[in-house]
Amino acid sequence: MHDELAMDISVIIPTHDRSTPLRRTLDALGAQSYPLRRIEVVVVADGCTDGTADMLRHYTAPYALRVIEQPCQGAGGARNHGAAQATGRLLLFQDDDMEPVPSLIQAHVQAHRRWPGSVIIGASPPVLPEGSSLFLLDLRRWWEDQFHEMGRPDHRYTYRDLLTGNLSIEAGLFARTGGFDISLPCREDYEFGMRLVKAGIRLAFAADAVSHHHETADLDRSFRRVRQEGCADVLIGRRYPELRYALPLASLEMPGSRLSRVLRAYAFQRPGIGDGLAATLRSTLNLLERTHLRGRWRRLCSTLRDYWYWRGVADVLGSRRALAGFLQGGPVHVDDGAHEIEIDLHEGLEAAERRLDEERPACVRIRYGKQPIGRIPPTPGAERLRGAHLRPGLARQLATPLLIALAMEAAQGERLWP
Amino acid sequence: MPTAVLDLEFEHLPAAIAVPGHYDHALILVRVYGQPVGQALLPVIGGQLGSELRDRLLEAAGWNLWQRWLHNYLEWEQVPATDSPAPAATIAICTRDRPEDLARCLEALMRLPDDGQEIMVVDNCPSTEATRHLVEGYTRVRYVREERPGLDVARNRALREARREIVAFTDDDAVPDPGWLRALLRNFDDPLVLCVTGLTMPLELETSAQEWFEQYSSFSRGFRRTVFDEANTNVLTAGQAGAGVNMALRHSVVECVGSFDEALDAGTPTHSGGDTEMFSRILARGYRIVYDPAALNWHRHRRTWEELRQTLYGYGTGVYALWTRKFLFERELTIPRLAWGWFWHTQLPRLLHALLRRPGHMPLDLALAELRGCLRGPTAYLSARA
Repeated sequence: MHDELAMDISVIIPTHDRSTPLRRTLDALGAQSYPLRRIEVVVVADGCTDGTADMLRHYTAPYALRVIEQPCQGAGGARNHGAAQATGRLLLFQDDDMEPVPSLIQAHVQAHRRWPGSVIIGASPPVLPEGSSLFLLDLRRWWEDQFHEMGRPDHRYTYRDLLTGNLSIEAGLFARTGGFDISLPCREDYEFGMRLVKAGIRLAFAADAVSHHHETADLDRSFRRVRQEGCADVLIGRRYPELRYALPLASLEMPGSRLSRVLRAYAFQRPGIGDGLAATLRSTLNLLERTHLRGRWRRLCSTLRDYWYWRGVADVLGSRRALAGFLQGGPVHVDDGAHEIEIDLHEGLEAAERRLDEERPACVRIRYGKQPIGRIPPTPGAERLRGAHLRPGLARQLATPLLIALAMEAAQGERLWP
Repeated sequence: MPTAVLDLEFEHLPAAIAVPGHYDHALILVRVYGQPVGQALLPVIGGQLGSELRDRLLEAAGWNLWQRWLHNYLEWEQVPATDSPAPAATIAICTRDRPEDLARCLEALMRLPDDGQEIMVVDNCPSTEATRHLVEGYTRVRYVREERPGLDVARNRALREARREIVAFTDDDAVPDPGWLRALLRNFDDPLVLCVTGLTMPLELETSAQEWFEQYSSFSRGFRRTVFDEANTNVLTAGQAGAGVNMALRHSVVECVGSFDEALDAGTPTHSGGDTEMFSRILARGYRIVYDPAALNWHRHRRTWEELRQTLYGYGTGVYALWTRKFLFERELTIPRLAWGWFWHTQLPRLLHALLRRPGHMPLDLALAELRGCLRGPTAYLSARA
């Protein structure tokens, strides 16, 4: 890329006590193909006690490196702080356990040229240590599926696609949105995504903006995190009532195994007993994994995750009754006032796609000539419909009525095969 | 009575299909827009397939056929065409003293569209020079000679020799469809996919041995694309994901999960199981296998009864050999339960039906051959590994 075409970019890295991986991230940023003098790196050391600040003071970077130290506030607060101090036109958030490929920044900049005003999410394929646990293997599948799905041209983005580990946004846009909400214990990324989606700002995935994610999560930390997610979901549901039924907490009365029902009851009524039981069960997980009883391991793990999630929900709401009340306080129909249009497939799929691209409705009624096909209903937290969403919607949700309509038309023409 | 094998495109069904007189049934592969969607076994009456052919095929293929048709109307695919080009491939055929079969396989490979694929024949411990002479007639085909006997030895050699990212294996007695390789390759867009398998149909069903083989150990895994991983599949029964007759591996499989176990499969006392063992390791290490019926090839099953009995004996040996490895060397403690389940729910009922001569029972000698193989499996594995 020619230097004069380049724009100034600020890479913001929130970090907490991970000075060794952070060093790897900084080294990789020094090997970028993008002009280094247009790069500024802002490291926000968030309550670090492991000598991160020392490491940074002695680090010689081939780009402008700025260090901000702050008392522990969480990643969202650190990102906001870094963004406020950044001078670049474009902000690129990187986590401290990432290892960018040399073309990362160039790929982000190109993506912004291609989709101006969008928020660009890069790929961060996980790198696992040798001999990884079942937990890490499952986690890797989750990440790869997420990127694979977002890489489809017909993907419909939702607030849950806003992954902050490798994300870029124009500085002006970030300032206008107000940044991350630091009142949430976690999931400030989802909340930010929700605000962007509601404001009609486009999310886009850049498959070539790759930063390898050196995964270090572990099972116990994930249980603690799930409890925070339970808390955060209640807070998000309070702010966005239309999301309440789409959150996992809406599955309160879903049937489950006897154990999961018992644990769910304890989570709300006798958390002391529940925690003890969960800890006992947790210790059997290792045994199950060592003996390769994978199915049992997975079922128990999922039961324990659920328990900690309900514990988090109970931390905020207190009782199942309060949760039921919380759910009933949400809207019955999410489509009140949603922008809805009608399209006729008889006029051709391309014409229908063009109309969706022009009007960007929240939902669409579909017919084929006089034959009704169905409706793609409004989905809370999802971007408004684009033309690209039509064909997968028809293929996945409306296949049978569409086939009937096509067959009826064929029958009128006295053809046997549509 | 032999069964005719037909390959029919649904939207161009002829009004009547004449079948040579000695067939009393026809096994029909149904395609829609070139993609296999189902199969039907229909009676041949008076040398003809009945006038209800169309309805019978619709019935047999069911929803798959309609779904394929709809996706074609929508010009939409479950696996979307990506901007990135398909990975480059090496086609590897491991063979041993079967030049006539190999010639048919190579002829079919010459009919594949040329996307720059490398074609390689691994001649495994041959007793004559016939294979080498045959391969010399094809300028596009590389000849590699592997002196150590064993199908898994040959497969490992192929992985070492291959110069492309994907190595697609087909057997010497199989005939790939022209779209075979492309269909395999498009499934590698997910980086966790280390292996893609395809649909294998019988090339001919001329003898009763071939018909029984198709009935009891068909290579077909159905007509729906399926993604297997450790979360949805028991890694110890990974054979459900496909077979070595029709599989492609990402070259990095060797670094990620290791190479084929050379104590397993044809050419060793264990007779089979090398492919399944590899599948099992791929799944257990958190990677994926995709079965895509669009990747079609045709396999000539063994013609004589003695060969069939040997094959089933070999399958029994291979399964137990592979389970021996998993139980003793990988501490998979559920193996005994699995073995008991197979015996109690499948093998024992088969044996009893055969003894009681129930209608449609498996021939007793085949059932016994498989059981004898199972008993031999553990010692066969230990001696092959030693």
